[in-house]
Amino acid sequence: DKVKLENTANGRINEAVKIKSYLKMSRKEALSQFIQQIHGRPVVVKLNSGVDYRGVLACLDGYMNIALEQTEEYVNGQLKNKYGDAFIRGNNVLYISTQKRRLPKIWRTSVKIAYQVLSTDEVNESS
Amino acid sequence: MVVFSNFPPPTEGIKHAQPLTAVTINNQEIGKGTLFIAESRLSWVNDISGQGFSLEYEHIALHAVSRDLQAYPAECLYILVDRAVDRDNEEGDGDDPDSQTEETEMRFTPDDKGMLDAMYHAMCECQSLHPDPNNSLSEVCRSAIRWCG
Repeated sequence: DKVKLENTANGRINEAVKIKSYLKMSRKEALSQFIQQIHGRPVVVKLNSGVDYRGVLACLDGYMNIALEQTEEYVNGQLKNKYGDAFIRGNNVLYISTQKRRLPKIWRTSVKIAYQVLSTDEVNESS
Repeated sequence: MVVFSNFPPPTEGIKHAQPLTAVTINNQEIGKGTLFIAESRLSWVNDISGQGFSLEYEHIALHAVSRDLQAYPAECLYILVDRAVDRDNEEGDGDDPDSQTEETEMRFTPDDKGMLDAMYHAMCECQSLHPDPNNSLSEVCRSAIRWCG
C-alpha cells in the first residue's frame, strides 16, 4: 500500500517514525539496516555550508563520518571539483540522500529523513 | 585552529610523514616542506624557514584526493578547514574577499604522487581518533556500525 508523503515538517517526522516503528527494530538495528541499504550506492551528502558532495558511499561510522569514492563537489548546483576518495567529518553533515532516480522517491526521501532522525537523540530508544 | 609560528614537528604518533610537499592556502603558495599526519594533529613545516602550522582534526571538515587536473593542475590532497586562517605574524588583507569566508582551502602536493592514497588513509585514521563529542550516537549504535568497504 502506497503511503502518501506529506512534504511538511510534521509529515516528514511522522514518516520517519512510521518507518522505524514499522521495522520494529531497535535504534541500533535500524541504523545498521539503514547503512546496509545505502552502502555502496551513489549518494548526495549535503554539508551545513550548503555544498553538495556526490559519490559512492564507502564508509559511514557511528560518528556519522562519511567516506565517499568518485566524489564530485557541487556548489549551487554547479559541478565545481572532482575528487577520488573523500572523507567528510560527521559534524559538518546535514544529511545524506540517495541519487538514483530509479528508486522510488519515497525511498530516497526516507533515507534522507532516516539519516536526520538517527543523527539526533530524540527518537525513542526501544531497547 | 591554524597558527603560524616557528614550529617543531610532532615527535609522537606520526602515522605518515611526507617530505617535499608543497602547500597552498586558499590558492596562495606557501612553500615546500614536510607534512606530518600525526594522531594529535596535522602539521606542516617549511623546509627552508622552519616555520609551520598545525591543524586540529576537529576543524578539518573534509579531506580528499584530488586527481582532476582540470580543476587543479597537480595531483594533491585537498583539505577543507572550517575556520578562516589566522596568520599570527601578518595582518589579514582587508580587501581580500576570502577573508570574509569561514572556510579555508588547502592543498598539499607531494613530489611523490604515489603517496597520495597513503596520506589520505592516514588522515582518515587520525580523524577517527577525534570524534565530535556533540555529535555522537550512543555507544550501542556505534559498536553496531563499522561499515566500511
